[in-house]
Amino acid sequence: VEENMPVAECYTPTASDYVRAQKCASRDAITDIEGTEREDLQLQPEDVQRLLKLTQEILKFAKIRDEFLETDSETESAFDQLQEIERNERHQIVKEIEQLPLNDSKRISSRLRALIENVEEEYPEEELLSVASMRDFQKFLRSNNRWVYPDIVVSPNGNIVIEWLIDNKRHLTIEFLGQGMSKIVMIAPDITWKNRVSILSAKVSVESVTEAIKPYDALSWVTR
Amino acid sequence: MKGDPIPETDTVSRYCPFGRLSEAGRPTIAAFQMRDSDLVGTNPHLSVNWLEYFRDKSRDEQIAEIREVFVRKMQRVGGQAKFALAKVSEIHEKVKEVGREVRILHWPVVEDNDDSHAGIFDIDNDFDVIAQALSRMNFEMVAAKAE
Repeated sequence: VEENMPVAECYTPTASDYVRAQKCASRDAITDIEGTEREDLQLQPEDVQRLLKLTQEILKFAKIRDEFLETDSETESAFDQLQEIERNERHQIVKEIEQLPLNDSKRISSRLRALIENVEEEYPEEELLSVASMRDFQKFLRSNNRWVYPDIVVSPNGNIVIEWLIDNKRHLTIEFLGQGMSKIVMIAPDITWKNRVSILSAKVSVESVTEAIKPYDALSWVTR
Repeated sequence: MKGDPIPETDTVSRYCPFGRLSEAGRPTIAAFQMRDSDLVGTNPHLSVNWLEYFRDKSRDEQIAEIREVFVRKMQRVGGQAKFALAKVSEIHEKVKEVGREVRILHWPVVEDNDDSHAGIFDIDNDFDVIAQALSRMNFEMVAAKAE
């Protein structure tokens, strides 16, 4: 389908299509889309029923698509409404974070407000701050009230990323991917060989972050 | 020429919007990440600009040239955005610390009229580990927007 071209104009099943399909159903004749009889094809009645159903689905889709193209302004306003809902949700999450029993809850919420404002202004063509990612970050903050204040930034995919950079051998970043998942990237002193470093990159659930970093003693530098 | 390696002693800059800088103004891992959609396809690379492409110009003039490129390319250059400047040799060294290797190649983008554009290539394998390593570098930071 060419861009903006009504589907119904590209292909609308006609009455003859149904007649042809019915003929197939009664096995009188099987014809292809150009009307040529195809004796080599053997369709079962259930195949024909599926084809009829598919034809109806195409027609239904064509109508929906054409209605959509005719009501551009209404659609636009639906997108605006969706954006407004998300904007309100972001602000609601920030308010909720502000109320969390954390030492830095006010500082975190203030940083989030600055990020929301700047992401909208600075790179309008990119993903806005993801609501799902913010929810996961909120969940993460709730899991422990002793977090050391992290750097909080936004990934190019619109996700919240937090990081603690202590020195060249202790650096933890967590990206909240939404749907309860997070991506950890960490460099930390090796568990066995203290003069070496371990480099980790993993996807884990938000609830498992603490357990994933614990063996590397990272909790000692990201919590008070 | 497109695809030529940038000399080790030369400098490249990376545009870092406000949202990817720490509160202290340091580039974080997010400054070196890319959208998922940019990591697919042929030759995925991290965009940088090659300062010495503008020969016989002072460092300030080279930065001014790159600022102009960004004004042309982007809808809006953030007032708090910065360019992170680093030597090519230092980038190679930092990436080697995490056991990876990258190539930094001249990669002009004709459609953007961005002749000084270059790319950090071979990042698609373990991309996040490389991005994090780059964020640990000591960059020279300059404002992306002329004051």
